[in-house]
Amino acid sequence: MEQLTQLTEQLAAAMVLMDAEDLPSLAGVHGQLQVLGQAGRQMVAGPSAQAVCRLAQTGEKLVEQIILREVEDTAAAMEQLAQSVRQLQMLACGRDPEPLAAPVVLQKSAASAAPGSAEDKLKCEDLPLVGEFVSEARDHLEKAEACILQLEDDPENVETIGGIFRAFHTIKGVAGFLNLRQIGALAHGAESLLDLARKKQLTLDAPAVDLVLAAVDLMKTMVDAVRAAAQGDGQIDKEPRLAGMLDRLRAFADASRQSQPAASGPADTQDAPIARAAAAPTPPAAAPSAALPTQDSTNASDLAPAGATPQDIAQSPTAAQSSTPASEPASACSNAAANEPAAPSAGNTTNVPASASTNSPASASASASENSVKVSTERLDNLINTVGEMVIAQAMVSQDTAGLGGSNPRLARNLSHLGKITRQLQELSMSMRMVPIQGVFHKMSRLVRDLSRKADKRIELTITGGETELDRNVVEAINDPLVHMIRNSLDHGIETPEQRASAGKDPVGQVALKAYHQAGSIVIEIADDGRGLDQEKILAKARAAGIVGPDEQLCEQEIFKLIFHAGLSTAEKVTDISGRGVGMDVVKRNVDALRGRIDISSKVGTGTTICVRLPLTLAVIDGLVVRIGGHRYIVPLTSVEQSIQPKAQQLSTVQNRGQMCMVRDRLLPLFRLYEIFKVQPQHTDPTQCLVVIAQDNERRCCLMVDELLGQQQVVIKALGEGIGSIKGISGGAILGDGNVSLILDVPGLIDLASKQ
Amino acid sequence: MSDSATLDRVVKTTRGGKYLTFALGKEEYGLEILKVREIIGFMEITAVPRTPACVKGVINLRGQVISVVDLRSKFDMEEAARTEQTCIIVVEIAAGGRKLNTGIVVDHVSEVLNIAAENIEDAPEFGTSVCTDFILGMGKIGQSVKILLDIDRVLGNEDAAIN
Repeated sequence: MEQLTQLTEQLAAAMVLMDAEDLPSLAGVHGQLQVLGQAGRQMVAGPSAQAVCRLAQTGEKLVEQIILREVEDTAAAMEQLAQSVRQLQMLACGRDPEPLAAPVVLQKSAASAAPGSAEDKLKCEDLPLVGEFVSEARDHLEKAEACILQLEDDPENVETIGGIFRAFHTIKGVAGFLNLRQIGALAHGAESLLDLARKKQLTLDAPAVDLVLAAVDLMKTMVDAVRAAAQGDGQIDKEPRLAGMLDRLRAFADASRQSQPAASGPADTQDAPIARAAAAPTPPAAAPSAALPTQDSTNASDLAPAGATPQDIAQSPTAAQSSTPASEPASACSNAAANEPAAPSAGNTTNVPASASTNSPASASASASENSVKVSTERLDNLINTVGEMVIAQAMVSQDTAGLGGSNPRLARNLSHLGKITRQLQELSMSMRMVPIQGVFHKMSRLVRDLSRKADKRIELTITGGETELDRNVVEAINDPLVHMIRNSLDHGIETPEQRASAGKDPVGQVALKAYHQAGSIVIEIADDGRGLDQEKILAKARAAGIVGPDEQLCEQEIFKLIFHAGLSTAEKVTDISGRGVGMDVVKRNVDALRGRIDISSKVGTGTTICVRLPLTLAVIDGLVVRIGGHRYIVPLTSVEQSIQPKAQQLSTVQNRGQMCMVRDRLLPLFRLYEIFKVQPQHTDPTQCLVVIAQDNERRCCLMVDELLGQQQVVIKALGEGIGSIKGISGGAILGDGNVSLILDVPGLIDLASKQ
Repeated sequence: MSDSATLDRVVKTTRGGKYLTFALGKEEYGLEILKVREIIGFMEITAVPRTPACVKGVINLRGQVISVVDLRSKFDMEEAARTEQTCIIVVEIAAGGRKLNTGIVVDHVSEVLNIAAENIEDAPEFGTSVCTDFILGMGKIGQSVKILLDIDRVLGNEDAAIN
């Protein structure tokens, strides 16, 4: 009873702050009512407990209707809400409530919100939410897509269907909240279809999967349109394909319902998702939720069911712990997202107990997403920068106090403790940028599916190591190269089923996509068991195109690398998929930009494996710190081959100008960095100096430096924006003493030096 | 055209306000206080090759690498020896729609002055020999005159890199 008093007081306080136009305040009241309802159910059974439950529930519904603007007269609704709260207060004091005035009929006529008929307009106050909605919707759609593809192999897996269903359901809920009726309508259509599948009234065979995929695609387009509108005037145009898609979804669902009339009992109520979620598991839960208003099929929003379901289900003893207290103000929206996955899956586990134990990836990812927080990348970058500064500051402090440690063991101990924590913090902050490559791989499975249909080949894609994590930027940048490589494998690598059969191979081609860590870098491997690269053919093509001279002899690796040459394609004809000789060129350039490396191994008739090695992160490189006069520079270790002190007989001049250095029987140009950078060196005589042999692909050169200072991991920083890009320098890095040192750009340097 | 003319007028009527004044040799300059991020003591600057002479290089401003411009060489004045008072003013300039921090090296920073709009005059015409585009106005404080700089224009048109 004491708890009840406290809760009603909190509720009354929230009521004072409430304003029909202010969503967070409404959400606050909604949350309070939810908590109160739960408290009521935990009370000793009795008339007052029932009254509390009832009041809390009607209040909640009322708030939902106000939020969704489904009430004709907001003021009357607010007044009614205030009355309910007053009654609750009386109950809490132990007095009998006075009878309630007859509830006003508040429901708006359903006709005013016809599905997808009108153009949608974003409200300015929603704009901050729209950004979140768009990114969330994209995540959900990606997850859904992955699940749909899983379905093709295992069409009966309820967990997977549930995953897709949840994605659409969440989108629908938030879309309703933001008044995006077109998206809501589409999500609802897809959801209805999936619900039938969930109840096993419909098998998701190939045409159904195609239809759902098409719906996902259309949804993506529409979500993008919303984002564009949010940046523009807020006006969302009518999507012309929407009506057709809705018809197709409905027709499909109807067809399956007619084919299984016996099982269609529950499907009649499927317009209201609440009824659906609740009808599945336990009778006690079904009763209260049936009382909830069954809204028009578009369901202007599903905030209501999303918010209400967990609480309804909480009545059933199995899921009592799934209820979440909602007291934060902004919780209406986030709650809908957070609670929602819990509800249907709770239904699922009771429905199909077997599926709970399979522990499918869908359920794992669903639970993972509940325990994460979305942070903008800008904030994350700021954090990482600040931690970087701290590491430098810590290094400076320990340098300055290095001598004092001997006389003051306490100081020494504390400093080393500080050092340890700093390192941990740095590692932690770096790991926050890491995301699993899974998302990109899932896109590839979609690609393989579509392309293999188009090319009329049978291909099985196996993905391993999707959980391998790499830097967010790398993940984004690796997408395009992967697409091109997969296309290439599919189009050129894998033969048609007939060809494969006649070659004695399994008619189903295998493409394996792997990711794993190896020696401080990430390896992404694309292997196919297709026809392999024909060295002779590539070489002939390259000779014909004039890329390779007629007498030039190339080793195996060099020949394979020719496929990355722009304009060289071994495909006899240009197809829809590839063959223009552009794709692999893109691969090479993107991987180079990521400071990665590509290795190819291939055998005619048995297949090709392409290995892409990428650094773990773009922000940090291993560098060789060199000194020229009083200046320090950093040479990326990936470009360093070796360093030597040249002897006089190794050096030779060409036309008395350009200098060459003979290293291991190769003549390499000698670049005097101090001339290029116009700084004062310690030595000008190469035999007094060290030369660093740097390489960029096939080009090598010797860079003259005074001294090698050591090898170090450095964080790459752009040079002040005021300077822009400078040829020969790729950026700056802050060294341990806090000073900035310049990172050399070896390809740029070679260009620069050869021009002089 | 008419747009920039109105803009100019707006700028001129709102010229009054707080200015950070600093010295280059005997000349006194002023910077709009809102453009100033911070003032730091002179620190070691890493020279960047292949940039104009007035770009001294880059420094580490708490983890951010920013470029530093020597105003003396930008204004074609002779170089001055570094003193205790030499410092770097970090200003936020708008270039190409983005805001970026740049350091400017000055001889010494004087004070923050409140200069009323009526005490600010347009820069006099010097003929073609002196470009006055980057001068916001001339602030009169008693007998002395401060040259108020439009720092965006001073640094903005910098195409720093020579490739």
